[in-house]
Amino acid sequence: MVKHVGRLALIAIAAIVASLACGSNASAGVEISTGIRYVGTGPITECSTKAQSALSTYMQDPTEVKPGSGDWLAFGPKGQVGAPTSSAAARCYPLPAGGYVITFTCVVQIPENPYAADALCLDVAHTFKGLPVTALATPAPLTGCATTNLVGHWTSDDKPGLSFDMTVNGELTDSDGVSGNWGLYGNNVTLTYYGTHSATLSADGKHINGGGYSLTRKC
Amino acid sequence: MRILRSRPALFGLALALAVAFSSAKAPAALEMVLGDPVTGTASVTECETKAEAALNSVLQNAYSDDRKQQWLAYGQLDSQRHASAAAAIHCYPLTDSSYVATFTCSAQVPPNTETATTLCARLEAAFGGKSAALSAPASKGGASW
Repeated sequence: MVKHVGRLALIAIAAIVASLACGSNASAGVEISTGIRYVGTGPITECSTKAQSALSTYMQDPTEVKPGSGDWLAFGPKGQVGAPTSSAAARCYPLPAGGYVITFTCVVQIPENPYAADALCLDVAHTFKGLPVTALATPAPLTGCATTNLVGHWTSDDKPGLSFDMTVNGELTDSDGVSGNWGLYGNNVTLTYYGTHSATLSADGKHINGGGYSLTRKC
Repeated sequence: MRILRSRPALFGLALALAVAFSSAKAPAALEMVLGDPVTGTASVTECETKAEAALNSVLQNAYSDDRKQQWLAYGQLDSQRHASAAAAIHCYPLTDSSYVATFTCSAQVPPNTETATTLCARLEAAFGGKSAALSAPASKGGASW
């Protein structure tokens, strides 16, 4: 009985040590915007067509979540973290006396997204209505070893000859031309390359460690 | 069997397993889901009241625009005052005695432990009312990346 308890204690201690060693996610969050709505006099199909067009101006591949529903959803292009950091919805609803109402809701990931959710919704709504728009902010030019992206050339510290070129659109290519993807959330790195690997970006943005890889980026 | 009886080996095995499970993090994703519209046979004031209550029961600190017909709320804030979940409920009067409510939900997963789809399901359940889906359900009710 004493030996059995001792072994259980060892397992518990190991689990605690591992949990502490693995660290925790850095903070990021969501910002939501809503409030703009318009009433139109045409059929709901008109609303859907205009909604799809307005969303496609700023987002990618707007999708009607259920055929004929008038509910359109789209996500922005991959940001500097290798994944979309913005999303917008335009929802059309038919009115009993004819016509339709459309509402807009936008969400961005902060602090990674370069513009606010309000700015995105305003531009999508104004594009729908044919009103003037203000250009959305674009990401700051990538320089040096930023801690907000993995763009650059990485060399392996322990696998001679292995290196990666990581691009702003979340893609990576190794020294043999094999391609994959990268993602960054806070300081948590995901490398999709012969499987999925989780690693950590150092505080100075120069090193990636974990998931079987130790990489260094020159800045 | 003899190896497993060795305390250092047992500790090492447990540590390795714990690290493996701890490191198996899913890539972070910004999720956004559109819930099915819900109609009500009362004035839009009922929708506004129910929207605020539903958001406060699932998230917190619901607030609205001046018209009181569009309500927003965020999930719990972390130490850096970021929320990883948010939702909006729109109320629109169809007639003097009927309205439609739409639900739009978002989550950053991880760190949020609940998907945007689950968030919307909980909000719609808290709101109550009859679904007013405009077409036959498709295979999924929202999109996430």
